[in-house]
Amino acid sequence: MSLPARVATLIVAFLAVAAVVAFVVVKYFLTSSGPPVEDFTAHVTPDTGAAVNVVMQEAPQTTVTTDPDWVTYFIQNPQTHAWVHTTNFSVPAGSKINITIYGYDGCTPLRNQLWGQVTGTIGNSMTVNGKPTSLLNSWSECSVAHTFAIPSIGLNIPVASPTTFQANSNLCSTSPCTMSDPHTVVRFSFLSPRTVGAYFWQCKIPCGLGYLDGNGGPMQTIGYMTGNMQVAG
Amino acid sequence: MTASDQPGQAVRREPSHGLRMLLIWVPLSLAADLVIWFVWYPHLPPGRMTDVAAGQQFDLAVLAICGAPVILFIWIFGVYATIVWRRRPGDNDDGPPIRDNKRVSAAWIAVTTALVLGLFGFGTYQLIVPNGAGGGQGASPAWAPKKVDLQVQVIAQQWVFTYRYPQFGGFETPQLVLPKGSVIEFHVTSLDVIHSFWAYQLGVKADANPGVDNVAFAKPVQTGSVVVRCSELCGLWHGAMFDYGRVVSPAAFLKWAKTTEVQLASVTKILPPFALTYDPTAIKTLGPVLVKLGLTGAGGGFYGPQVPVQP
Repeated sequence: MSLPARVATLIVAFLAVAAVVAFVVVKYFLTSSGPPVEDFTAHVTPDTGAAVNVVMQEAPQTTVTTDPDWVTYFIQNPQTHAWVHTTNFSVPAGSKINITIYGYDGCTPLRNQLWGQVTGTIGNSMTVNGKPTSLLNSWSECSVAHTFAIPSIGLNIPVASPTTFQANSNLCSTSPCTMSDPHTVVRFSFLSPRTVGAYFWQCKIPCGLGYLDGNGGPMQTIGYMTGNMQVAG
Repeated sequence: MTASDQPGQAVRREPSHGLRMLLIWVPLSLAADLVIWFVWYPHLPPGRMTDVAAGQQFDLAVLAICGAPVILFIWIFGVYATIVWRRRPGDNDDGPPIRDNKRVSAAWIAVTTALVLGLFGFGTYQLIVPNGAGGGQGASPAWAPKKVDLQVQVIAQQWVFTYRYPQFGGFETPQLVLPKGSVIEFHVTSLDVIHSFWAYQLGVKADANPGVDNVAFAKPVQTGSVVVRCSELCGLWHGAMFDYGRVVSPAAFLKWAKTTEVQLASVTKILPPFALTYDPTAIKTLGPVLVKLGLTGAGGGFYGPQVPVQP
């Protein structure tokens, strides 16, 4: 092979490799930003203990995506009050975070009963339909659908489910669910950390329908049963 | 024809290169080993918080002491050869012919064989003593201490470790607290996927497999903080699966354990009885609504293989 031919081959090979690298970077790193982040930091001064209200719902399916049989959380936009299919939200540091979760999914026994205990909230308590509760037994009662846990700050909330056989047999079938569907209302408050950063949260019930022991799918995908709480300074 | 072969010129006597290298190698090796033993050894991981951690630190020091002279020999030979046997300006002749030196070859084979076999024996022995060297030994440990002071069950789950203390009513907590001076028997298991319990400063590393009781031993001899990490890729938040344990005085441990036992009494009541492994897919005491809904356990039973969508 002549020298010009060799040089040309080398240049073509280099350009091909560079093109593949550029494609991977653009496709998988620059454009896939993940689910949106609902911002609850507006008009709140961090580290003042000011209250922030976050409203979420967990739904038995995700009919707004291509994975309709995956369970999921939705977060209500603080301005429009529209339900957004995301599990990422940002809150101000050092603030009192009041969370309301509408629980539309049916009951499932906890894999570890320890997570039936409420921890990390103000007073280590929550309310279920207005009733103060600190512990739910998900084995002896139809009581827990999912959990909302931020392990790094010790927060653990067993999210209550509708309790009757009838309600669990007539769960909401289109997401996001509406107030007319059977549901529970869970409320709790906690203090956001003073340290700025991302704090992941997760469900501790293996709720990945169709995946081995329920551990895959929505359990491993941000935007469904796990996400990030961004703490902003 | 080299310059030394020219008529009328004296034949240059080749110096004893082996002796030269030996004279460089011996003091340097001695110095390196002394530095390793007296300076590096006390700071080698994982420290001396437990008997097994101290054993691992000693093993690393021995390996370093054996390895340093070998590495130095190779480096010295390379540097010496590069300097002394380099081609000099005007030297266009071939080098001297290379001949086999049976004594050198035999010595090299004998020394390296002795070193490798010696370290093999040493390493095998150190894996056994003391008490399995902090590694998980399965359900029936072959190398167990004569007496165990405290049992701690390590339960791994996505993405947190919890610890159960059967000698204190079987309470379960995300906090790992251990007393100094007690022989600890860890029973490591998992509730979901495969994890691995790696308590770095304790020198304990044991796989956490669902349905398996993996036993490891350690005796803390110092108080302090312990970093616990999962060392088996276990899902989305594997990187966040870590916590900090503590080794405290026996009195402080007793106080903590008794206080925690009382604080967690209500949740301990609803935990399953202490067992060496748990099967969350088959719960014996399900409530009537759960039974009517056809739920038999947490995962598996509900989302079992009968569900058509599989990854």
